[in-house]
Amino acid sequence: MQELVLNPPGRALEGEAASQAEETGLRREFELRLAECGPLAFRVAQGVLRNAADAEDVAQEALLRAYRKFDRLRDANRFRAWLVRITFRLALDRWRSARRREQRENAWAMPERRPAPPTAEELAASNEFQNRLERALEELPDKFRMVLLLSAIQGYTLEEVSGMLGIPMGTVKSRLFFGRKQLAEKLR
Amino acid sequence: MNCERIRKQILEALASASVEVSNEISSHLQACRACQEFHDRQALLFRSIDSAVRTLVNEPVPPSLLAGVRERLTKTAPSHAWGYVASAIAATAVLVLAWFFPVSLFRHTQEPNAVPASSALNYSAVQTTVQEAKRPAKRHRASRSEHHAIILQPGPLVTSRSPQPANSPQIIVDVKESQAIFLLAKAVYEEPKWGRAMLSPVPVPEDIAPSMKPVMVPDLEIKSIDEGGD
Repeated sequence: MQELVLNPPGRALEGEAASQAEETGLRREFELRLAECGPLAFRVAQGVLRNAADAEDVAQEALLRAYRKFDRLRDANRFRAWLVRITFRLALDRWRSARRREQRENAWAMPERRPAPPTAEELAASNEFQNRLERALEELPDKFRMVLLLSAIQGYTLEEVSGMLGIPMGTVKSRLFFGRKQLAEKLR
Repeated sequence: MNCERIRKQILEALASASVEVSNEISSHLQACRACQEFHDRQALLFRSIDSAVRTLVNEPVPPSLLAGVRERLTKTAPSHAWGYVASAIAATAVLVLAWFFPVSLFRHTQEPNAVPASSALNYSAVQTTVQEAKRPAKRHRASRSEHHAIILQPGPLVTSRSPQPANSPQIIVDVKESQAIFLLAKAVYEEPKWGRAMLSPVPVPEDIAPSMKPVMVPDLEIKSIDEGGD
């Protein structure tokens, strides 16, 4: 059974005004963070998904979740770190479910037709490298992949990556080293 | 043997993206053509990896990204708007329930004599049941005695001490407003045309509208009455 409780009007209006002011302030602060960190969320998602439309959707979802928790994430560094982690996780979830769906569909579908070979040899080589790199990236352990992607985003130093992930600078460097080494081994 | 060790060092230097190469490596590279070729190939591979990853993550951000977040934020109803929505739902619920169910019972915890004597309902019949005693939530302790329950039951008006069915619709209202809502419910029951009139309000003439003050709807919460109680 639901109970409806009507608060006294005066108290309710005061509370209403205060909560509206609070929400306006919260929204304004969030707008600043949105402009600052929105592109970062998109790039992290893009690094995992390699599809702009999916990455945009995931980044938006992550930013909406950040808004819901914004009263606890007002500090800029904390916000950025939280956003990067949640975006990466959401993007991985999306990528895994897409892969499962693809596997299911492929299991029932006719053997897929291979695309026509590209005319220019250079383009073929470049595309092949790109495909192999994407596969190699997918196979990298998450912790290496995340550092590799974040450090490749323009404008972020290794020190900032260390702050975002909440890990020491030495750990960032060693993950970057092993990530690059493993990628090269897979592509050699 | 020396070449193998040097090549291992070359890979480690390239993987760590270090710009400087040790003297040992550079002097070996000058002397060994095979290792120099190995170095060039591996350096090209690492440069290609870096370039491809950078291209991947630095794709232009779609202009619709932030606009999309704002739009989705607007679609999500802000918390304070819930108060208005719930107030409207409660007011409609009172009118609709009162229209279809005759008021059979009016329970209260205080001021029983304040109910109009002209009322056709028998209040004394139900004073033994105290609705507020069933409300357990600690955070509402302060307002325990400030609410009444209006119970609506189908059928003719009940004036006896017969127990009310547990599933009768109930509306808990502020004590200050309970009498007004009770009288409203009673009026709607006795004169259904009032209910119809309230559900289909007549448009306000334009010459009257500017003089009217806006009605302030107080905040409203919905809580479960069974929460940890009974």
